[in-house]
Amino acid sequence: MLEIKNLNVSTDNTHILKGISLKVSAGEIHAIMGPNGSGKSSLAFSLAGKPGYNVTSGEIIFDKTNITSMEPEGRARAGIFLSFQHPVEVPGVRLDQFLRASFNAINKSREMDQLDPLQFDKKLKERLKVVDMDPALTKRFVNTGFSGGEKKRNEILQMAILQPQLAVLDEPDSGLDVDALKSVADAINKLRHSSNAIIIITHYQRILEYVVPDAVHILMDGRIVKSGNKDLAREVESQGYEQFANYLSNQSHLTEKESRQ
Amino acid sequence: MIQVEQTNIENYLSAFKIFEQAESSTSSNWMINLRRNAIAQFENSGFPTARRGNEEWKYTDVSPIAKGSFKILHNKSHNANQLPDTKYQQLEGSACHNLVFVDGFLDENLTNISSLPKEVLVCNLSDAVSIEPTFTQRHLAKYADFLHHPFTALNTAFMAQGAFIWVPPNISIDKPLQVLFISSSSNSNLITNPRILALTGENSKFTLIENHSAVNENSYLANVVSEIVLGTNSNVQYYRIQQESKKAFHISTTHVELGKGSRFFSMNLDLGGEIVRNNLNVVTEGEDSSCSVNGIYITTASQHIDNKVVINHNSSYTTSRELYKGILSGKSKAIFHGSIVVREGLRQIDALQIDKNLLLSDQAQANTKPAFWIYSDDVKCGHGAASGQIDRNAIFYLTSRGISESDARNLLVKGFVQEVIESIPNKFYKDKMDNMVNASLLDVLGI
Ligand SMILES: Nc1ncnc2c1ncn2[C@@H]1O[C@H](COP(=O)(O)OP(=O)(O)O)[C@@H](O)[C@H]1O
Ligand SMILES: [Mg+2]
Repeated sequence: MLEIKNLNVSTDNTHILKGISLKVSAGEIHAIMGPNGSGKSSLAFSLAGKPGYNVTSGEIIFDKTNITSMEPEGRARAGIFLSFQHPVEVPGVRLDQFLRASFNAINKSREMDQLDPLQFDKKLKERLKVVDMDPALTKRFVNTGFSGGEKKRNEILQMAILQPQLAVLDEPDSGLDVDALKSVADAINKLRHSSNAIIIITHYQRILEYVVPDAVHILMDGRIVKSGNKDLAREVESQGYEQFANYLSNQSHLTEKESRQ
Repeated sequence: MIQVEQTNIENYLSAFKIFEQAESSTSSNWMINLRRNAIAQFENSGFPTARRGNEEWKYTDVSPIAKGSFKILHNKSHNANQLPDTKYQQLEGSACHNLVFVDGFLDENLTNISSLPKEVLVCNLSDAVSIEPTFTQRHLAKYADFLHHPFTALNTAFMAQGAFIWVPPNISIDKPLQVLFISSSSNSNLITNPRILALTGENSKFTLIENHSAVNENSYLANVVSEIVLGTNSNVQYYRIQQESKKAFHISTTHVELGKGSRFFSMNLDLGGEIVRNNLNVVTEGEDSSCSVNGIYITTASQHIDNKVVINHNSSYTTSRELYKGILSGKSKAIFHGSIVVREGLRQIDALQIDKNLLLSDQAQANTKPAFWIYSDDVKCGHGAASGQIDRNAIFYLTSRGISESDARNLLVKGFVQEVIESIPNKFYKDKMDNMVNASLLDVLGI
């Protein structure tokens, strides 16, 4: 479903992602773990097409289409969803209206039916239950004055409504207490099925106890330094990220040599 | 019909002589004296055009007004049939009690105040002088200071017709009372001096809409003065809708006195005008009074809109909230001066002032000039000001959900002023304002 080939991304002359390759198939959950500043969010933004994250080489293939230079709305319509680490507050735009605008924009691009406010309201109520979110929040401005937990839950609500083929969840767990974490993980599990894929980005292993990944990748300094199964996440938990530093120096040696050629 | 060409102060003075004569049969002595005082004051000061040492008018150059040759209409000249029906409908004539002035003169045909509660007195100001002489004399021109404000002096000198409103104690008016000032003349360069005096008794409640509108896209000067006095525990909502011609000059002063325990909500919507200056002065005369003053301005082309809001906290336990937002495009310019004054020796004052601007072009300019004069200690006073372009992170957030970039922009532009619209305490007006703002955005930005 998704193939990232040797992706290099720079912002304002800073080289952030340094040759990332990754393959994700339908039905899979991949976890990407790494310390702060390793480039996890940059990878997520690059997948969603955020302006300013310039792909200097490599490509992103989604559903057999090269989307490397596609604008964000095109990717969303193609079925990619990004759950933001820091969801943006949009004062003045009511959440239910925003959700309907989003749902209808995507449906329209697929020549599918658009929902009027009443029809959408029904759908919304259903999905709110799936993610266990307070319906009152949908009458407020998008993320404005939401607590950290409410913001995260709102991202998952959007995933539940848009039903993307590929969901990239950037730290859906950060800032959540144990109960909230369990309930968010529970919602994610309800939304996984054999025809969609999820990339879950996290700093800590604890959410992976609930949302069990098929593969775990360690990201450091813009590179995937190690990939493995769910046990790799436990290794991080017990021994930290430092152990991977030597992989990093080996690899940076390699890429330097490569780039000199 | 007498028309006098004005080119400078002398011409206003000679117009005053003709005006005084025309009004002599209907004016009492105190009124004649009041006007004479005011014209003398105006003669003394002239227009506030000095560019130096003129803090009040530092950011708004009124020399195009001072140089203009505005004519004062001494007689009713219009014919009500000239006023297109659609225009009147658009002004929500049917949802309100209406007092309608066309080019400064009461229009009997369009006016409809027959279903007001019988206790309420709403009439032409020129009639109030004879119906309620002492009452009118006690209040008229006692709040809006003409000694230090040339435009107020000019209005006071030429005041004749206008709205007089008295809502007695314990009366609440269901539908809003709309005072419509319509410029209909096909002649350009008229000056009108609209005037409102509104007084409320204890525990009364009403909504006042002051609506300035034009039939033609002419150049003219509307020089408005409104005095609103809230009795003890009364509640007034005040909507000021300025949709003058895009070539018009609009100068207004609204002076509000808050009695003990009274509540005042205002919403100032600026859509029209070439040069616009609104002075809003609110004085918390009584304890426990509060005000929420809000505004939206949508400017384009070379429009210049200056809102000066002064909140005078004169009593303890009083609260003020100011929220103004502007959407600026073209080469337009907006200024927001917000002054908060807290007299000495007061307790528990709570004041908050916010002005934000969304700049949709590189040439649009916004200036926010807050000023605080706080002479008490027990004061909570906050302010926020920001001017900027559309938030790129928000654009990305919306587009990442499949919404097109242009739709995302439009949502954000509308959303920007939505916060102000949300502050409107009544669903009916909230929807009305929403519609008006949307119509204006469609007109100005095509969204
Ligand atoms: N828009 C940007 N402009 C400049 N530098 C950036 C930008 N985004 C991220 N970076 C830098 O790239 C590195 C990776 O950041 P990020 O992707 O946010 O890491 P993570 O999500 O793993 O904490 C950091 O050094 C960060 O400062
Ligand atoms: Mg991050």
